[in-house]
Amino acid sequence: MKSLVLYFLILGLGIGWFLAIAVPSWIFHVEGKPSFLCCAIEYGFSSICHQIPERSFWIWGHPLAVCARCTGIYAGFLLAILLFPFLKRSVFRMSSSTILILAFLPSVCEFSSAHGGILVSNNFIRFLVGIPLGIGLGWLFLTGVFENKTKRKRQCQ
Amino acid sequence: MPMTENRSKLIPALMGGSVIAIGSSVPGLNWANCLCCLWVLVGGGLAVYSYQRGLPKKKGVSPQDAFILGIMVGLFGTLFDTFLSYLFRETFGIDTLQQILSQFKGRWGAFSEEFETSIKMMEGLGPWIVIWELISGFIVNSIFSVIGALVTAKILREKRK
Repeated sequence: MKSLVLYFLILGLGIGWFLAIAVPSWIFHVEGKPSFLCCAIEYGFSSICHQIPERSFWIWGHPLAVCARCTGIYAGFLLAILLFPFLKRSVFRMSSSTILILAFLPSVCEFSSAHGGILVSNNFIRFLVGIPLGIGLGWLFLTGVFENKTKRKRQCQ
Repeated sequence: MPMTENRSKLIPALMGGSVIAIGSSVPGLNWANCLCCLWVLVGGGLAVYSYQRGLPKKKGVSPQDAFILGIMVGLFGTLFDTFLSYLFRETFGIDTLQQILSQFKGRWGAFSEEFETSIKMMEGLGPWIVIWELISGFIVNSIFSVIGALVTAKILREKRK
C-alpha cells in the first residue's frame, strides 16, 4: 500500500514537472501578456537549462521553459515512471552502470559530434537523444526507490 | 526499525553541495549542467559515494539514506551556489534585475508596458529575488541530487554484492 502511494506520488510529480515547462507559454496564450508567474517558472528552470529559444520547442507562439534536449529527458523520465509497473521484471536485466552508460551515450555522441562539426543537429534530434537519458535515469531512480521493498516482499513470501 | 544509518551525513552532503556550487557557478564549467543538470547529479552521487566509504563492507547505502543525503546536498548546494553567485555579482558589478530583464527580453520579445513597470517595482525588493532564487534552487537541486544519490546508491549496492 505504501509503495502504491509512493508510486503515485512520483507519478504526480513527474506529470506536474513535465506540464510545468509549458505553463508560461499557456499563460501568455491565455492572458496575452507575460506575468510574474511566467517569469517565476522560467527563472526557476533557468538554473538547469540554457533556455535558448532557437533550441526550444515552441508552443502557442512561445518557447517552452526548457530546451528540446531537456524536454526529451523529462518525457523519457515520465515514460519510465508510466511503464515501470508493467516492465518491472521483463526488461532491463543489465547492470545499473550499463544502463547508465547506454542512457548517456546517445546524448554524449550527439553533443560531441554537433560541437565537433560532424553532425548538424536540430531540435528533433536533441529531443530524441534526450529520451533514452530520461528513461535510463528514471528507471534507475525507480528501481533504486522500490528495490528494498520488492526484496522484503520476496523474503516474506 | 530505523532504516537510516547513524553515521554522519553532514560531511558527504557538504562535499556534494560544494560540487554543485562550484560546477554551477564557475563560467565554463557550468555548461555541463545543460546535460541533465550533470553537476547536481554528480553532487548527489559523490555524497553517496563518500558516505558509503565509511560503512562496513557489504553494506550498501539504503534508498532512505540516499534520499536524505540528496535533500541535504540540494540544500547545501543551493546555499553555496547562491553565495558564490552573489560574490560573482558583487565582484563583477552585475545587476541582478538587469540580468533577469535581459534574460526574459530574449525569450518574450518586447515587454508590455505594465510588465516592465511591475518588474521595476521589484527594484526595491532586492532580497525577494534572492529568496526566490533560494526556493527555486532548493526545489530543483534537491530533485536532481536525490536522483543522482539514488542512482549511485543502486550502482554501488550492485558492486558490493
